[in-house]
Amino acid sequence: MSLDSKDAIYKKVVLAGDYWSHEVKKGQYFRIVDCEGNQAADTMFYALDNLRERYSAQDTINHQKNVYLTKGSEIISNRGNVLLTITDDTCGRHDTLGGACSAESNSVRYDLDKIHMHNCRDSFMAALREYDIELGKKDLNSNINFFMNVPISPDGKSTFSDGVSAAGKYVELKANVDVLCIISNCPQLNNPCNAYNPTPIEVLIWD
Amino acid sequence: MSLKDMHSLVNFFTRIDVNQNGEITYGKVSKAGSYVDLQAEMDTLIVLNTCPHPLNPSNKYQPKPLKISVWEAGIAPADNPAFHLRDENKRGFTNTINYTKSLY
Repeated sequence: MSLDSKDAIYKKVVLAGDYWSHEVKKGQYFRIVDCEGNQAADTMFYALDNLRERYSAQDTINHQKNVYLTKGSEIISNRGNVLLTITDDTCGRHDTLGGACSAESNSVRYDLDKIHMHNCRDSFMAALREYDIELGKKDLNSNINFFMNVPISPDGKSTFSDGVSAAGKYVELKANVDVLCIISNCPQLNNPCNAYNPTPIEVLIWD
Repeated sequence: MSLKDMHSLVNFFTRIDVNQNGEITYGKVSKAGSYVDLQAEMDTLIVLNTCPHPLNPSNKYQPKPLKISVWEAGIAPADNPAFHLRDENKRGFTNTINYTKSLY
């Protein structure tokens, strides 16, 4: 089934470096579009019934016995439930091992002086707090890096590889339960994950 | 503490292999007497559970015992080979030292 953007009940362009949060209800389809190509969309999901139930990379990887996410992947929670399913994917591969950049990781990876630069974890924190003042650092867990290609070699090395994404590529998910989706449209300027140039993404929801 | 405090974990002594397509398989099993040593660089709480790995193909639930030992044998960061392994490590240690200082 191909969804027409004319029929979407919600459409929003998330600007370069910005963050976004929204509820996606059971049965709704949710699409993220990489508008200009090679833009990391760092994404977390929470079950609306109980926000302590959230996306778990380890459970998702164990469940599908594969470290990459693509069409057919089930997005599994820390309680072993299916939160969403990837129903379409024109990019082909998404990372969930690389985690999200933070002030602290910027200081370790690049330089102690980079601690003040924009990062995904601060964006996640801001988005969580705007949604519910009770949410905070303890609610941060593993995330998906949509549109990022991070191959793992048989000897365990991970590298940022040439992007497999391109302008207009998208990933589409169907919600299996009501979820809260939080996206940090990655503002990282110190590594090639956004080709040193963060760009917009677009999010769409269909009933 | 509760569910919200549970995050990703380490599965010591379980080897998982990854092939070029990203498929993971349960790898070689650790031999009796294998060990891993860690040094605490800051005060930590360790929570540990002995149970088979989720990908363990055995159909019998057979958790086995572990032995845990703690020593007072701190190596100063500058004497720790990990400190000098690469610049990232040096900056990580520097963050830990500065953070620890800020606590006292």
